[in-house]
Amino acid sequence: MKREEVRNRIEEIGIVAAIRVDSGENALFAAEAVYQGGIPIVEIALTVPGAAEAISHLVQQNSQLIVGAGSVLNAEMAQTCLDAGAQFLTSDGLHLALVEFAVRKGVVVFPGALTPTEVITAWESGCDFVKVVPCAHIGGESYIKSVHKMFPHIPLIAAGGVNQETASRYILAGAAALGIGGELIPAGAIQRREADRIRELSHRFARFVKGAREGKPPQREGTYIG
Amino acid sequence: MKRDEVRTRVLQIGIVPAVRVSSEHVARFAAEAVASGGIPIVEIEMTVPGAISVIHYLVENIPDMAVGAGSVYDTETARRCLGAGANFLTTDGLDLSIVEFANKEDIAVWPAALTPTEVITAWKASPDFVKVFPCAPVGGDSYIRILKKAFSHIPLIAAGGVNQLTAQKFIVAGASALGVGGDLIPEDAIRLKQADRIRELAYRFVRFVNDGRDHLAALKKASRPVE
Repeated sequence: MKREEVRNRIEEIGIVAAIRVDSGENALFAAEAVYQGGIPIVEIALTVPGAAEAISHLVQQNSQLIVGAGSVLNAEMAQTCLDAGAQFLTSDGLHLALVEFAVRKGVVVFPGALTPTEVITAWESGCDFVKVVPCAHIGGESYIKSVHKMFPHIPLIAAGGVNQETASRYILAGAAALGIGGELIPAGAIQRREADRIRELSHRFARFVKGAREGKPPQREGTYIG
Repeated sequence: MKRDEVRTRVLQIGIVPAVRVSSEHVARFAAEAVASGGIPIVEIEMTVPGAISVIHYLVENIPDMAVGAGSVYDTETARRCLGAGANFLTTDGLDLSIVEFANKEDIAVWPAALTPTEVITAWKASPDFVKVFPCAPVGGDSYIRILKKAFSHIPLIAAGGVNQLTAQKFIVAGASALGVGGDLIPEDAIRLKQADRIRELAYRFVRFVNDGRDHLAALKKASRPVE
């Protein structure tokens, strides 16, 4: 899948499932469950033991699934992921060397950034999206709204603490997509192999995104005090 | 208007209205409305179509107004703003090249910064102020208060989500001035061409700043030891 197609697919689906579990086997289970639940985009964090093998396995097993690598720290790790078949690269912080590498290789990349300064720096380096992480802790959707108002041309992925209550608000605030981890793939559901629970959560999050995109944003009221 | 005059003006009025609208015509309308409401300062965002000609128009037609350029993203744009007569430059993030450029041209400048690291880095580049943006979502006035505790010598402009409820609090927390956008120049007021409404909001924000400063002065007086 080409860079352009991966980017379009992320925009269309609006959710990147972040898989950060404690074994490769659990990662495969989680990826399969979210895929069954209608989210065909997964990010395997490189903190997962045997992450590259998991990526490679998923890529070979399911051609409909877009598999990327998360928490990538440098170009060397990125190369290992690309060799395994990763279709996008993402990081937790702003690693410009990673963005440069991805741009050179023609692969989708979205670095993590937090302040407006970091968001601008990230975007100017040529990435596909800027992932604002951890957004829930520093103001949630109102932070995304502020950043989006300043930089309407920069597609933002809101990540870090996005949950069922807030998902649609982030979309209304202007996020192009959401990065969702533990709220979509709860540790308990992994432990007890509750694929149906993860599927249900996937359906819900997909519905939150779709609903927010279709609905009209609520009109602000009461600013005019006569 | 010279650099120190701009700085004095911002310190005196305490409000920098940010005009981020969708056309040249509307930007002029908004700037004229805030000026007639008692705020002779305006920042025209580079996202406004024809922003540079708006700056030129305002400089020519409202001679006593400090007209600046906001969301400046490179020195080439900064140069064009200067050519149009801009009195100050400001950014959305910490772009040190803009600060350097402004210092070389001796024009007032305040870059945006958010974290303490960014605020220090900004201040070391010698701007006139540091704009803390977006301050409302990251903790509001209590965030400004903490920053001022650490950096009492750095004049901060609180911007991003400042509204009628919070304006005075930001001043009491130690902000030298406020950057106010949509809450001073509401979209509906623009659409409905309600210059009187923008004027009323301008009066109010000026009063919030003055009340906040009076409050600070009273606090200072109260804490002075009795002689």
